[in-house]
Amino acid sequence: MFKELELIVNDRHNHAKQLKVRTNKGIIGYLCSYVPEEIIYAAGFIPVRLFSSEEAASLADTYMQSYYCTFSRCILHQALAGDFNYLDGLVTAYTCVNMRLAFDSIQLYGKIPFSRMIYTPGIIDDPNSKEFYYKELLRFKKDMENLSGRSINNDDLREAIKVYDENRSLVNDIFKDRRNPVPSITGKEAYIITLSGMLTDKQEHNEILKTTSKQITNRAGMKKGVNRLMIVGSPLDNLKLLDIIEDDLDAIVVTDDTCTCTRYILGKTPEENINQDPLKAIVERYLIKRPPCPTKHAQNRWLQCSSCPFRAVSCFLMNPAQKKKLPKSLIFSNPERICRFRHSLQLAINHNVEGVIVLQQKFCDPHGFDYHHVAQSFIDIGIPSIMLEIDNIISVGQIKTRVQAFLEMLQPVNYVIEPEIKEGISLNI
Amino acid sequence: MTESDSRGLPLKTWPMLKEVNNNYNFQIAAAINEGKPIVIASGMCPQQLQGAFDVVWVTGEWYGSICGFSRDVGLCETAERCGFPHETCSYARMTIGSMIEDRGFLGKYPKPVAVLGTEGLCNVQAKWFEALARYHNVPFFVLDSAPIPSQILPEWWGEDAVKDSVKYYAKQLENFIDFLEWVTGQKPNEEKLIDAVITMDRNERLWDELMRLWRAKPSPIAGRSLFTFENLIVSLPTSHAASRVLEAIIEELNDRIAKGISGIPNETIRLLWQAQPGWYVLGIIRYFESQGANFVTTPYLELWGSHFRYDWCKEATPDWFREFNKPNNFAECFWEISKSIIAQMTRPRLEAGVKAIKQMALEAEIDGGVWHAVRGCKGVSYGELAEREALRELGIPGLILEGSPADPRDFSEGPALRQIRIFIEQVKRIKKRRKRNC
Repeated sequence: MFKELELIVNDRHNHAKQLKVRTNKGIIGYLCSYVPEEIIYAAGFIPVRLFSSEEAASLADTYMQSYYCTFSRCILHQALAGDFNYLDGLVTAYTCVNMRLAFDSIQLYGKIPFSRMIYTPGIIDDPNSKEFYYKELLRFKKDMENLSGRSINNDDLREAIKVYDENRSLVNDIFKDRRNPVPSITGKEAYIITLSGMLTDKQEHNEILKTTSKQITNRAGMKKGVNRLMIVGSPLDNLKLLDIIEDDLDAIVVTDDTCTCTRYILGKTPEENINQDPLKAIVERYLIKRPPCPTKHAQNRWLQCSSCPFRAVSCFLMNPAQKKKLPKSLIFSNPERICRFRHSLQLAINHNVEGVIVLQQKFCDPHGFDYHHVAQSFIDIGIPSIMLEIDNIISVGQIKTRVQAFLEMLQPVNYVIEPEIKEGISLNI
Repeated sequence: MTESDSRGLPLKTWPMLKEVNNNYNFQIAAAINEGKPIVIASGMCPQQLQGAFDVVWVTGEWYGSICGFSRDVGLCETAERCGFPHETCSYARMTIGSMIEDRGFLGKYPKPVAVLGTEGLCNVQAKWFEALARYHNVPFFVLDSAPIPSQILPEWWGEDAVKDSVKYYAKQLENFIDFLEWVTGQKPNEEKLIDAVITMDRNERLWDELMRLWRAKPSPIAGRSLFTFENLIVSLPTSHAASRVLEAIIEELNDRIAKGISGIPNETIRLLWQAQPGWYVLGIIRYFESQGANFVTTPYLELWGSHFRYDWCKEATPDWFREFNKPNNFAECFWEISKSIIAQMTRPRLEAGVKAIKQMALEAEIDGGVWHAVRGCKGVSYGELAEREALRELGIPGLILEGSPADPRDFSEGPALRQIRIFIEQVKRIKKRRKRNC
């Protein structure tokens, strides 16, 4: 059922080359889930995300120190080795410093004809950020028009948004099944679905998903009575980890908060904005509607803590807002998903997660600084966690031992939250 | 204590510098004891704003560096025990450890009423301060700089993009003033803010002049001493006392240049340094000096002035971006601050950084470059390897020393000294060969 999608993931370069010939469309590589793919798609290109590989990042050693994350170093290595020569361009969003150096180095020393970096604001809830980001996207749209030699009108953008939102809905529908006591898909299959979506034409992916979705409906549940796990943290693109967890150790990953899976597909583009100004809708989707990554900050996230359903959890700041009333100029918005911790806890409870694996890509600062609070907040609601430091190469034996020990200590879940609070948690992800 | 620089004549300005630096430490220590409002901020927060409020402003980087200088490894270990990975910034781990243990070189840890982070140069400057705010349960504000991506290819996004970046940042400063007003319960003082903006610009220009004089041949000052002067421009950039010290050292260096007094005796090798030094192992630099090698320039220190900051982006920015206009009100202050922060925060992107380092190497007539590959500080050590490659193309050898600014466990002194010995021999041989060929 997932063979076609798995082939795309495993043979990504050849797939992209064939796609280019078959569709006669240019291929634009991108480095981060904050890149607004819809604009690239509306310009007539196929955006594909660049991932690491299991090769040693030897060529990257010339330009990136060993203490930059291997995810970014591997991408630079592949670019210098010519693995991405089929690309017509490269786009990244300003998020983490590792990817920024990989991008800068590819721009200078790689052989990719076109490259752009979009500044994605670090503050996501301020109207000022939205205004700035809107202008940034207008400039990016113009660049894409120049590259493609055709203008992008609002209908083109609406069409691209429709394709992307359909993809999000289809994946979301499939993923909803993961909340069931006996899910119909495994964690590895979930990752295959999203990763393949990032590596192929979205419209084609939608067609495949429609068929897959029907097959999943008729499929018997997978892995009854095994431990239900969640993955939180750095990008995961090496599926060997899931093989260890699900095949070797007989557990199941029922949800995650990583930008290569669930975080990528959550958050639909707001419809009211699409009709008025589709570019504004894209701004809303990327800044507010999607779950944030640790490099993004909500200026008054801590203001929402007093009304947060998880207010007893120690990772939150709630006292400052109770002291005195904040001036109006500082109150921006109060969207539900703007807090990363709240989002993760909500996912865990909705999926009856029994244990959390916090993935820490070696040398990933944003996730490294969040680890203490992520682990603490899960402990506070009664879910234990384990931190796994990963690289582009998965050390199978070591990881297996650690996860096995973790699984052995897991108890039936007993969430330490007040019943009325639990009822208040939105199930609508 | 005077700088008994046995390798050159002692600096007359040294006692004056020590007094200003000590007063700064005493002021913070007193604030802790007296319960004055303390704000902990990232070093990339616009310091001019502290002028508008009666608060004690503690820079996280300064605090971490002095912890590093004190070699208080136990603080890093405490942070690591709480789950902050060893690979993250050592300044951050030192500060977080000090916060958890409530101890440090000032006695107690300076507990803040608010914490200010920045996003743009690197992710740590926001995440580190977010961790402090969460622990203290105090309000947290992040300032997001919008670098100018068009710097690489000036033809793409032009003047409008620059204006949008400045506007974006200036608007955040308005919110920031509201935030500080809310946190401290004080009304912002416009007059003091204007004075702080003007003084900071003046100090940055004095710093530029100091950097220029440092490059003289022979250099009138030991490179190591400049790292102590750094506190003036990092922690006290809006202070009049800092201006007086900078003016005095400039006068003294001019005098030394006129009289031919060098910072170290027998300056035979001129080197470029990049990134923060390991504060716990400044003796390494003394070893260079003992071999007749002086550090005569560094992009890391130049970045605090206005010349280098605006110079690298001159092809991508309009004239108004690089010109300072004396402000008369809040809005004008925000505009001037935004321009300087955006230029500084962006830090040369790779292409611009490579170009800038080549230019510096040629202007300062250096014989070699030493890069401190700072584990955990990806912002400062950004593109170091590409810079080394660029200088190698000019026939200038380079040495990479891996370590961290505050955690002694990241630096192996023995192997580093062996590498340095070989490097100095290499530089000497290349110099000799060049002389012969001439």
